[in-house]
Amino acid sequence: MEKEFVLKTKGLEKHYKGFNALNGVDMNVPKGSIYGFVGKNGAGKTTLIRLICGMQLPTGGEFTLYGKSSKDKDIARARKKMGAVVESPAIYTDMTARDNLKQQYRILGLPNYDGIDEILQLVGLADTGKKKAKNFSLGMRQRLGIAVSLCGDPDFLVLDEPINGLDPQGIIEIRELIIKLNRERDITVLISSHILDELSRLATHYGFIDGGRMIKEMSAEELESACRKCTRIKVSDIRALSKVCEEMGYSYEVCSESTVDIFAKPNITQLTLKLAENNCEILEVAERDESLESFYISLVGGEQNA
Amino acid sequence: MLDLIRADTVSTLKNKSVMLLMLFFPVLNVTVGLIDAFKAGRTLNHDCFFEALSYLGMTAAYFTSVTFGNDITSGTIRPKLTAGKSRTAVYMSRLIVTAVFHAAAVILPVPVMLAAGMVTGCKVTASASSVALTVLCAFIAAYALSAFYMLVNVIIRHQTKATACGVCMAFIMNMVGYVVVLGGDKEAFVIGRFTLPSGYIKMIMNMDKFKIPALPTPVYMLVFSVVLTFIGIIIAKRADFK
Repeated sequence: MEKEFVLKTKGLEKHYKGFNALNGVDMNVPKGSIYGFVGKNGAGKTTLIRLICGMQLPTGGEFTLYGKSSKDKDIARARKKMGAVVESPAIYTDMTARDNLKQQYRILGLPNYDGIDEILQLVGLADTGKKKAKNFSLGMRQRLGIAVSLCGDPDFLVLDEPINGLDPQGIIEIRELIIKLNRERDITVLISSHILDELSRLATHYGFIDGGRMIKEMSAEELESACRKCTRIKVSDIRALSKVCEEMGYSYEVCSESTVDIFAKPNITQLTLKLAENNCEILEVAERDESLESFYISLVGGEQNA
Repeated sequence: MLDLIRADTVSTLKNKSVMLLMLFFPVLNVTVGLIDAFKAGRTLNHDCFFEALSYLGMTAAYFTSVTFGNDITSGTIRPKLTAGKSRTAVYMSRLIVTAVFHAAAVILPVPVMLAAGMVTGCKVTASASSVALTVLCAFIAAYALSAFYMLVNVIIRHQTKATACGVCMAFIMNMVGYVVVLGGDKEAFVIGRFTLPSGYIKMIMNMDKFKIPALPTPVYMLVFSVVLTFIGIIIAKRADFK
């Protein structure tokens, strides 16, 4: 069955005077996924999100949202299926959490306020009563922003750096909320974040952007395989090591003329004895665990971008 | 757009800054109006009802800043655009709601002044028709000035602050130019037409000697309003909102 995409961008460009924020970005957000959008500051993440949300207009290329092209007049109708929190939560600070949701219901032209209690419950703001949003903590404001974006029962949620500035408790709350929305409500989530380890806890798909270009898109499984734990062993005889690995049933990959990555935790004593039998000397053993950060750095050009 | 108008009306009603000005206008008008009325031997003439009109330009800037300007700076424009509302609808809704509240703030002093005059035993000499005409002019002027400051707000977002300053300076120079080049009364003619309907009426009386064809103030205002609104929408459609 062909994969269904909520959002597809094709050669999307945004140029400012003397500066190219996006240089032909191709992006594919599968339906039902949590798409982690990774990139350093100024890479073009927020610009792309703004274009999708209609806050800015592309200078080139196009995107399709639920099959509707950005050049189509009906794109506004497609946007009704999405909710977004871009940069900071867009809330009326002089209003309570409930009033903020009522305001969004009015904007959407919904006939009644049914569902507000459920949304407040979902984001954990049901007990805020008459407390004005200006007196909320950063985490509460962020959750209120997500609550506002959930009005109208969207199928697609766009969150731009939702955990920026939050304390550990706030980060956990937002993470659990996103997972809940994705699993229980089947909402597709596009989430950009700098905190890559946090992103790796929830994303099912990734898009890596740098210098206004999409460098790589991959699934969480593909990333896991690229970043999986291994033991790197440097030996005097690579053939002997290969033979021993096969005999011991280890999955391995030859990296160079003298090094091999073994994707398991090998029994070093047995391995050493077997290698000794084959007249092979172990020169170095190191455990490797490539994090999402190091993978990203290697993607965007190593030390130059570190 | 009705959904947006409804939402913008509620948010404006809950905006303390707007409500404060709505209260300030009648208080200012009654205070100054009553002083004038007592000076004139407890007589409420036409001008006593419209003392606050002199501040129309300033209040338009204030109103648009705390409504549309705040919408942009606090980001509350974002959920509207993401909800699939067109830029024209977002712009027009804010302009209409701002202009209506602004006009209400300008017109509110009239009944308050009348009541205050009656309580203090003042005699009303202003004719109902002239008051009604001035109220109409004030309403259109409130819209025109709101449209102008909305335009300035959206230019600041789309272009640069320097461009917006340029537009404001051109606007002011256009007014001042008459004083510098043509002198005295002609400046009053333009300002009288642009801001103060009652001032314009007085001006027409003094302008006969210049033989400048008189254009009815409401028509002049309406043309001005339509042009400003049109330019505002065009720029808003191209603007990058953050």
